[in-house]
Amino acid sequence: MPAEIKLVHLNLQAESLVLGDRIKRQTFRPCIDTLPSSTVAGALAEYSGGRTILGIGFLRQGSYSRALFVHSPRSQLTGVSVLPLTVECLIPRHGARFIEGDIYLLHSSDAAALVPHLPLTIHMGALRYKGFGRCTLTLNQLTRCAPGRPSNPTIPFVRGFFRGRIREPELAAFGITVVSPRYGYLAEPDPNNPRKVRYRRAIMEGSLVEAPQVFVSEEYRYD
Amino acid sequence: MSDKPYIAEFHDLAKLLDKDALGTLGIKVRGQRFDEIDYGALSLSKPSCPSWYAPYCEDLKSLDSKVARDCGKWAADVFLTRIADRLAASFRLAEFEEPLDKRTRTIAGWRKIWKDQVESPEWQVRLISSKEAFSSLLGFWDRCANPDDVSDYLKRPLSAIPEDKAPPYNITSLYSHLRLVGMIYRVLRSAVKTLPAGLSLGGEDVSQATQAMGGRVDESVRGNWIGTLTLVDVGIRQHLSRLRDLNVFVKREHVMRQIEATFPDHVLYRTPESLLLFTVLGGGVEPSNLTAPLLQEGFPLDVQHLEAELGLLVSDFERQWLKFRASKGVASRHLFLRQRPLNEAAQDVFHGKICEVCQMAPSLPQPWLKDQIEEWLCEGCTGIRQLHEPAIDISDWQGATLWVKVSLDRRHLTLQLPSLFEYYVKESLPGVNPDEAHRFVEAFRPLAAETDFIRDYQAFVQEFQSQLCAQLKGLPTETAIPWSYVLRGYPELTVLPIVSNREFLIACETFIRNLHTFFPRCCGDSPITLALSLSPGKYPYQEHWRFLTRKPDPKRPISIQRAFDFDIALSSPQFRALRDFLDNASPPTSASLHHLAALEGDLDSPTAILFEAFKNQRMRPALRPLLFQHGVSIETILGFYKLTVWQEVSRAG
Repeated sequence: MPAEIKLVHLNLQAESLVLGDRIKRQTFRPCIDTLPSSTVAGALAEYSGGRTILGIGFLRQGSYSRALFVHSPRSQLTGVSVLPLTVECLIPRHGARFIEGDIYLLHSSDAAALVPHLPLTIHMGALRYKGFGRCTLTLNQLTRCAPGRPSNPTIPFVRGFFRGRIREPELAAFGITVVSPRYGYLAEPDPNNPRKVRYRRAIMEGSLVEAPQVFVSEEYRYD
Repeated sequence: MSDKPYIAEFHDLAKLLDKDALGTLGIKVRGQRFDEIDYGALSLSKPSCPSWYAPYCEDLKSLDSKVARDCGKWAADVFLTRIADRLAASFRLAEFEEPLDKRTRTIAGWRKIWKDQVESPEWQVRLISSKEAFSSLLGFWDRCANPDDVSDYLKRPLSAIPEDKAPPYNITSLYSHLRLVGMIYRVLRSAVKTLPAGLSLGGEDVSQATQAMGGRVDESVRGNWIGTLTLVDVGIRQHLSRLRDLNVFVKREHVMRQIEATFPDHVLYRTPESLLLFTVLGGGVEPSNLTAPLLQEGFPLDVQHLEAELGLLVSDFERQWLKFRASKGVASRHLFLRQRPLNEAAQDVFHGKICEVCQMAPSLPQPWLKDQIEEWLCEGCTGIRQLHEPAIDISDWQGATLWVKVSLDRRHLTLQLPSLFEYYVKESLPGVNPDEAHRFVEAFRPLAAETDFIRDYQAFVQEFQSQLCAQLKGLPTETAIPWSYVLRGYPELTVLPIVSNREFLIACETFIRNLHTFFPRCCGDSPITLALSLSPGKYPYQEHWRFLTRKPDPKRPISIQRAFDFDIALSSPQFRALRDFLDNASPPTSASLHHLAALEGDLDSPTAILFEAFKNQRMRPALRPLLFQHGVSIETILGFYKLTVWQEVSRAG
């Protein structure tokens, strides 16, 4: 467990999001409700011209509901629609204007360089060409995470069930120690061919971890 | 004698006897032992098998004792039977000073605490009361060579007679008790080493039962032998994108059955979605040995694991853990509760495509091709799709379908069993004061009752599925369903075609009727739930699954979803009230309900909705009980109403 971690806590507001689960070629594409580190890093890299800014995000419960969007992509060759596809998307809860969330960036020179530009607009997730994924980021606070249970504004480390998705090599930087993993895979750029992706083992929701409290959905009660 | 096996199940054989009736015939049985009978004078043949000593377990507390010497080379087996008997017992009486003298109370047959009456009113007829029957029992005892034969040969009496006949202790069948004792004994027997002066497990030598098991939860006497109970919830990683992916349930059942066949005594029970495992520390078999085949096949597990001195090992983990943490002297004792998600992912990184179904492995070089759609699947998911073609009926059906799933929330069950028992204590001992009732509950160990409940649940699920399918197929021709889809080994899931829109009503009614039959005392707060998902035939299967496996509210055990529209949750009384409401000769019109539901969404104020609803004179009398007595929301009424639109059509006709 590292001595201390500095995080940049951003507020996220989005009108609609398509955070597709990685199921392709299907006529239905479900939507997840967390912001994986790959999605956050990809969106910020796009905004900042390829800089590597590590981040992970979570949507605030109750700020969104699910809806279905049906569209029919056309074949680039023939211009003919093949199959209507149903995509699940997130929209603001009834009566609300935005989906709300929190993004935690690992403090670095690149992340610090981003702060003066706040509030800023990035695009995240899928179907951006249909208008989905436009997000506004504002600064919430610069915060520190430290072991034990110190007083505010420092975030304590706790043992509990992880509520996000993060690639394994990024765990240490965020001070996350895995006790018992629930594995999955997230995409990352292939260093040998930036036009391609490869899949990196990741820690998914429900993994038992020791981590800053904000990354945990439910604290572990047992031994 | 030595060529026959020792069978621990015989330790409680005397509980099958009508001792008073046999006593009048000169057959005297003291406690559980049969050694005071004058076999020669009665022309009975005394069994000469090793199991003859099993009833001595009641008296064998130490391997140094005279009783142990009487048992000779079988003393270790009898000693382990004693420990197994304590572990499987529904009460730890040593922890508990009985408030009333048990001997002065009446006796009764086996009473399930989730039911309203004893299981078999003529249970006393099953007791052995004649010399011929007694002689036959001795003969069986002598020649029995297989533990399974005990439960087969004596199944009827064992299923009617309780482990303890004095209410409120009569809540476990002798069948379940003997079975559990046999399994636990065999796990211990295979794990311990026999020493000249005792037994050893995991390097801990003991010669006294208390040395092995330890004292009460609030005492400092430590038990040297450590056991584990592990509850394994077996999930699936696959997204059900095609009907062939349903084969994953067949595969899961197959793997779980294999585990049970390989470790028949370690698997205390199995439901279609979970396993309860018993192992001992240092015994050579770890819980990970049992879960390994599931992980290798890619099933994600949620494991709760209680590791404790044998005397502290109970199946309601959480309650015991809290009690242990609250007690003094914790530092010297051994009890740990752990909860872990488990799954496997072999590779750190890979290139190319990821399997689109499980998303846990690289796909094969060739895609799975169907209907001109390419899917990139890993080897495991391809294998699952190739198991067999499971669902032609569903895929050929052009109309709507109803997906039906029954679930058991085992964690809720372990919380509920003590409450059900407390209710029964108060019922069977009307004069008992709350403190005494609480002490009964504190001494309650739910493992045996839980295994009885699980057996009832398995029967319930089978009965529900067969009744539902038979009823819908037996309707008049125009409303009868042409097919039903069930998976072998997984009766919790059924898929039906929607022909008349009445299928959901019949499913709910069948569920409620069976719940009342099997678990009448769980109707208000049910660990068993029903989820129904109605949709067009091509609705994504994964979305059905997501709804069907959503954590339900035990107070409202019926959940109904109509795809792209609404989902509602109902209790049994709410369902009945809604059905009666819409059976009414002058039900509300669809328009007025839609109007109210829209207002409910906009205003978010129950009071405003009530005023609006009560403006409508026709709806007022019908809505009042639904809203006030049963607490049903307008949106739920509208959802239910939409599902019964056929009634409106038939009324109009």
